[in-house]
Parts: sequence; C-alpha cells; structure tokens
Amino acid sequence: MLDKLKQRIKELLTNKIVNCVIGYEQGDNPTLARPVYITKPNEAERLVYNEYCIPILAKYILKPEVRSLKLEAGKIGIIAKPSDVRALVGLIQEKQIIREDVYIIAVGRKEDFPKIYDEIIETPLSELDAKRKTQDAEQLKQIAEFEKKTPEEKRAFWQREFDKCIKCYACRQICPLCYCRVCIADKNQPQWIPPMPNSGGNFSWNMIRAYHLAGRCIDCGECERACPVDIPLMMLNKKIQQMIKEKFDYQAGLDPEVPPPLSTYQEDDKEKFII
Amino acid sequence: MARIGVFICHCGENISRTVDVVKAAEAAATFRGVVHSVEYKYMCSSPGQNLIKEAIKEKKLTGVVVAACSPKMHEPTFRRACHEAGLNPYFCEISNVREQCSWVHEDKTVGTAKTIDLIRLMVEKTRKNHELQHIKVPITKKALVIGAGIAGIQAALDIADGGQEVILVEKDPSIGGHMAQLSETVPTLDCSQCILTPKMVDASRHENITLYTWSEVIDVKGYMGNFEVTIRKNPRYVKEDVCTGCGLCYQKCPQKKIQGKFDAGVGLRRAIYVPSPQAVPNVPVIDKDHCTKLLKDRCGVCQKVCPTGAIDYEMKEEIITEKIGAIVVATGYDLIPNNFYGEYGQGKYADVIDGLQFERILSASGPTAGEIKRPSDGKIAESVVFIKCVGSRDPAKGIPYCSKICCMYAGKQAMLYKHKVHHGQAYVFYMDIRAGGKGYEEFIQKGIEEEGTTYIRGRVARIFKKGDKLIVRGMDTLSGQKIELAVDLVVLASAMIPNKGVKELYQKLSISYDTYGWVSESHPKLKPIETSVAGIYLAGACQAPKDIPDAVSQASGAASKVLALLSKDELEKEPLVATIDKNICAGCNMCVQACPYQAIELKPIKDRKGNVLRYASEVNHGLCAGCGVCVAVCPSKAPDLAGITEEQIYAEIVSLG
Repeated sequence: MLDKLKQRIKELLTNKIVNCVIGYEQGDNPTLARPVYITKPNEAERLVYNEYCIPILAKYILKPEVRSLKLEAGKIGIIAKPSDVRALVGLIQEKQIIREDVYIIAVGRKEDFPKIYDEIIETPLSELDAKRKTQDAEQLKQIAEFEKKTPEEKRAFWQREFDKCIKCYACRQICPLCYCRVCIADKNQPQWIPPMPNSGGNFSWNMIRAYHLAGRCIDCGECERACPVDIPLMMLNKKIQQMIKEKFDYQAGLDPEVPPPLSTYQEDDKEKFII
Repeated sequence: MARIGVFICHCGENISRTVDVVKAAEAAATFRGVVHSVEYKYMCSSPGQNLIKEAIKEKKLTGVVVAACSPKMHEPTFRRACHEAGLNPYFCEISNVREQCSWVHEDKTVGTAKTIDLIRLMVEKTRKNHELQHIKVPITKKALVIGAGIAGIQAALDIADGGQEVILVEKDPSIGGHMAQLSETVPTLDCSQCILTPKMVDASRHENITLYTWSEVIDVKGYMGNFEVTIRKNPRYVKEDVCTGCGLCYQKCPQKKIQGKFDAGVGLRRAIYVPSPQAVPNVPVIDKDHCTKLLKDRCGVCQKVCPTGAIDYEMKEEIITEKIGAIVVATGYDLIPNNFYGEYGQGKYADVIDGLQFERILSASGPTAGEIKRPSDGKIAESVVFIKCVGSRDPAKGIPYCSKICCMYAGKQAMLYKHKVHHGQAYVFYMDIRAGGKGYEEFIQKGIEEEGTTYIRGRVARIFKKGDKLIVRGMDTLSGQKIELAVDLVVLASAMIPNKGVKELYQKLSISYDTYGWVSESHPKLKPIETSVAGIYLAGACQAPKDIPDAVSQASGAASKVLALLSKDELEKEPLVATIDKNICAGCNMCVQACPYQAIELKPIKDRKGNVLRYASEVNHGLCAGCGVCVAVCPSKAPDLAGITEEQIYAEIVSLG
C-alpha cells in the first residue's frame, strides 16, 4: 500500500498535477509520525503511512507556507483519512479553501469517505480507525449515562473536568475548523473570556469552544487527543452533534453544497424571532 | 468625563405603582457619571421633555437616560428632544422600566431594585456611546404596485396623480381583479363594472403609469428607496402595439370549451381570448395550454383572420428590470378550492357554486347575460340556498377567521336574485349576521323585510342530489328543528384565502406574512399599511378579507405613504448598522449566509499588485437593518453594531456585578 502511495505521489508531482503533497514522515521515534510537505518527486520516499499517522492533516492546508504556494505549478495534494476529508468539506463550505485548489488522495475504505475525493487508495479498515469506532461507541454510551444525571450533578461533573484545564489552547490549535484570525479567547476589548486558568474562565473557554463548533465539528477527535489534562471534550462535541442531527437532520463535513443550518437564514425558519 | 442625566417617568401610575421612583432617582444620582437625576409624572409630555432639554443646557449633559416605557414607544420622542437641545440624539438611551419591570412585578421592593439595576445598565451603556450621524441614501423616484385589482389601481392612480411615476404589474391579461367580475355592489347596488371601468381606463392612459399585464414580479433586491425589481412579461402571442382589439381572432378560434378564470368556471371561453369585453388592455392573449397551434402546430386560424398581423406564435417572454423607490403590495385574494367541503358536493354537482360564480351568473355581461340559469341544465333557478361561513370561522378546517364580506354579498345576491326571479325563493343559512359598515345593517334588513329573503340560523350538514333538485339538509338552531329544502341552486359563501403563489412573492420581497399567508402589517393598529420591510406598503385584501371601500381607502393610504417617501431626494437612515472589522474577519461566510437582508458580501483583500490575499466580509450600510444576526453568528466577533457595541453590552453586564 505504501509503495503504491509513494508511486502515485511521485507521478502526481512529476506530472505537475500537484505542487506539494501534505503527508506523514517518520518521526523521532518509531511510534511517532509527523506531518511533512513533499514538493519534489524523489522526496516521496520519505512518506510513511501506519497506525501512528494520527494528527489531522487538513489543518496544515491553512498554513501560510501552503497558502503562499503558486497554484499555477499544480494543486495542493493531501493524503487524507476520513476525518481529513470531512474537515476539508467544512473548510470548503466556509470558503477557507477552494475545492479546485486541492487534490485529495483518500486512503482507507470507500464507504468511510464523503464522495469528494479525487482518488482513493483503498485499504482494509485500519487498526486506528477500528479503535476510533469503538471509542465512538463508548463515548455515546458515556453521554447516555451522563444524560441521567441531575442538572446539579451535570454542572458538578463539568466543573470538575474544566477545573483541570490549564488554558494551553491545544484543543484550539489542533482543531481543523478553528482558523479564526483572532480567536475570541484572545480578544481583550472586551475580554469575554478571562485569560486566567481559573474556574469561571475555564468554564467560559471550554463551553464557548464547543458552541463555536456547534454544527461545524466534523468529529475528528483531535481536541480530546491533544488535551494534556484529558478533558472529555468529545462528549460535548458529540452531544451537540446529536442535537444538530435531531433538530436539523444535518451532519457537518459530508457535503459542501448543503448550507450549515445554524448560520443560514431561511424565510421559513422555525424560530420566528429572526425577523 | 461623562455627565449623564437620569429621568425617571411615573407613567401616571403605571410605573410608580410598583416602583419607588423617588428612591430610584436617589440611587441613580450616585452612579458613576450621573450628575442629574429626577423623576416626573409624565416624561413624554411637553413639560417632561422640557425638563430634559433644560437639564441638557444647564448641567451640560453629555448623555441622557430616560427610565420609562418601551423604546418602541417613545425613544424617537426623547431622542428628538435631546437633538433639539443640541445633544446628539444617539446619546439618549431608554431604560424600559414599564413593560420589562413595573408591569411584570407586583412587589414594590422587587420592582424598585430591578428599576435601579436597569438604570445602572443604561448609564453604563450611555457612558460608552458615540456620536452617530444619519446615513443618507438617495431615493429612486418611481413606485411599483404589484396587483391591479381595485386596490392596486387606486394606489397607482393616487401615486400617479401625485406626480410620481408608477409601474403597475398584473399577472392576469387584464387589470380589474375580482371587482371586474362582480355584478352589483353593496349597499347601493351600483354596477361594479360601471364604477370600475373608468378607473381601469384612467390607469391605462395615465402618463405617469406604465402598465405591465400578463406579467409577474420574479425578483426583488435592494432596500427602501433603492429596490431593483425584475419583472417577467409572459408571452401573449399577440403584439400589443399592433392589435386593434377588433375581436375577430376570438370569434373564429375553434377551441371553444375552456373554463376561464374570469367567468369562474361557469362560462366558457376560447383559446385566444380577452377576459371580458371591458378588459384593459383590450388585447387578447393565447392560452398556451389549450391552443392547438402552440401545442401541436395545427390550426393557426387567428393568425389568418387577424387583419393587422398581430398574432405572433414565436413570442418569447421578456425580462424587464426596473429601479424602484417604493413598493405597494396589492395581491388580493382567492376563494377556497371547491373540494374543501366534500359534504356540500361542490365540484361534484354543477349546481353547487361559490359566490364568485354566482356573481358571474348575475352579471349582465356574464355567460347567462344576467339570467339566473343554473349551470347544469340552463333552467331558471326557482329556489336558491345561500350558505354563509363555508370554510370561514372553522378552526377545524384551518380557517378560524371571518371572511368579512360574505354576510353582505350573500344578502346582496339573495336580493339581486329576487329582482330577477320575482317568484323565486331565496334562503340564507347563517351563523351570525355581521353587517358592520356604513349602510350595511340597513341593507340586510331591507333584504329580509322588503325583498322576502328567508334567513335560517344554522349550518347545513349535507347536500345531495335527488331528481333534478338539490336537497339541502341542515338545522334551524333557533327552533331546534331539522330542515330539509329541495332547491335548484346552492351558492356557497366560500372563505377568502390569499392568492396562489403569493408566499413565494412575499419571500422575494422579504415581507412577513401570517400562518394563513396574509401579509403582516408592521403594527396592527398604528401601522396597518406598512409591511415588515421599510419602503414596502400593502393595500387591499392581501392583508386580510376586505370589502371594496376598505380596500380603496387603504390603497389611498398606501399611496400617501409612497408619495411622502418619494417626495424626498434623500432618505435618512438610522445609523444603527453593523460594520465588520476586516483585520479580524476570517471570511468564513457565515454572516453572509445568516444575514436576512442580504446586506453582507465577501470582498477580496488585495496587495499592492492587485493579488487577492484573502476575503473578508463587508456590510452594505444601505441594506443593513441593524438586526445584529451577524454579530451573533461570528465566532471571532468581527462585526460590531453601532449604538449597541460589544463594549457597551459588556459594560452593561459587568455593571450588574
């Protein structure tokens, strides 16, 4: 599979279909794979693809070094997991990238991807994805359990979890859809979110982060993975996903043509207060 | 340093009953920046306003907080007072201590404490106010009237007489609307067409009116004073400028058996037709769903007989765009479909008809030339039952409202019937008789006492056919007895509903409508002619069921609103609009999608060489209504709303501690 991938990347770069490919290379130790930009055909040899290829690559498409690339010399290629493709859908929807500027090389099972990739290298279900699926199921169970709590218990639960937060903003930095030029957390006129890692400030930050991703979170799980103090952020994200699915029959990251329900004005909106 | 004056209104007793206004004034005097704090019985009265004006001058106030009723009521009053005293009106803020405090509380301690808090909020907000100037927008001096029934015609004539240009758009081939279909009108029994046709002709000849019949408004962009309207002129297949209206074409057309809209299905017309002899313009139109030439490329008789060569089977639709300053919506009404009540057999029995169909039968220019011949066999109807409230006032059927005109027209139709069939018998089934209107009650009484109409209070349960008679089975609820009548004709006073396809039009206009599809007025009492969109007014039955005098007077009202708007060269717009900080905006497009007024656009940000670096949102201040949706939807709070800035909201929240 890896050989096929390397071969294909070489071809794409040689034929100037792509200008650069975002993929993974071997990290400093055998259990690390790190993102890499491949710009020359012979560099394709550096690529790896294994169970350690975890970090979401879609985030890198917004980096200045990628943005400044001359598109005449080819598109920006990206080796994409299902979550990467979903993130790209979100970014296309929100006009951060133009579909035609990107060349998506999906790696995985066909049924796991939204149908917007350019080509696919089919592989059986990877260990990593299988693990993600069991994690998902567990988390849904966790949410169902959580729903049984009283409002006071729920608040106490999150208070305890958010108290751990050290305001490192790793959740924000890793999120492929947190791309604001100025984050609300960094705004200080007025300062809606207190910068100190104290109880109130932590609550504001974590809740606002979840709300800003309402109807946008593509369920990659990176925020929770990046969190150094293990706050179960995906519980919040998943709960909101469930609600959006239920109320609007919408799931983020599947189709760039479908307008996102929470930020689209409609004359026949259920909520009459808008006009 | 801020020098703020606080003015607390008693509103008679409305506020002072549950708020200790003296205590509130004392508390307000201690707030940061407050240099003056008083209470007064009626702040909105002229002495009350003078208190504010004098304090601005004497105490050199830089801000005014009026604690009174909702800003919806008197914000303009107090802002004007401040302006007159030389203070920028946007330094005046209203603290709503009536609707949001005294009216909802009973306990005076609670009410007083909350009032003090509400004033504190507004003082903090006022401290951070900025001087704002009105936004000036040029006005296009041209009006559009949608719908050329009596309301639309009247509005267009009044605007045109006022010296402004009007475009009158009608989707039917002729102007005149439903009024042109009617026989005689209540309560004076003057012939409907005789009083309407002069207006129709005036509308077509007026130098300030451009008439587009057989046309529809397909798109509306822009805002008050500056709308851009797209009109589709459907193909008539007859050249308007060549046709002389001789009528040869429709006399010769072999397609004879088409149930037309104008005769409401009781008369037949040809495939090429003018709706009525009085049609304006008197130019035929080809019904493309029935013309064999257009459908199958056979026939072509009309083209052969036309002496002026006006027939053009190749005619295409025409798209016209017009710049418009103000719009009048006069889209009228329709009746419920004939299958609405299965038990009445309308649609199944030819002799169960609705009020409009009976109007055509009564009309001297109608299909029976005014004789009361029943549709099934052309026999003179010896007895007729009129049933009122068919559909109307029936919440179970989804129409809880009263259609308003049916009591009068059913009474009139019974009377006219008796005038034509002297020995005939007219029965009216009614729930109530609602005859509120000048001369209306007298008219109904005359029908009962002098013309011998029999009124039966009760509802009809079922209608069925027996021999050549219709059996009407119902209940007389006054005597409590079952009633069964064998009659020749049944006329249903069917409920009025909004016209077909109007909701799509209203969506294009962005005006609100109620659950039934009637246009919503801006305020039910004080702004009954304004819609929810500035610069768009309404007239006639598109708002709710209405009779002719109501429709006409409302049309003249709408015309005066339009004339007032178009009399200015520039429009002053409230400066409370959003502005987006391009340095912060990430161009995510969310506000663009969320804006109900299509006021936001993504615009490229370029470097010196003209290369596009990125995109950021920009608000068109002419279109912005200051609703604040963009502020709410933006994750990085790039938009800010003048007059209600983020800093002000934050200051208000913080002031509560």
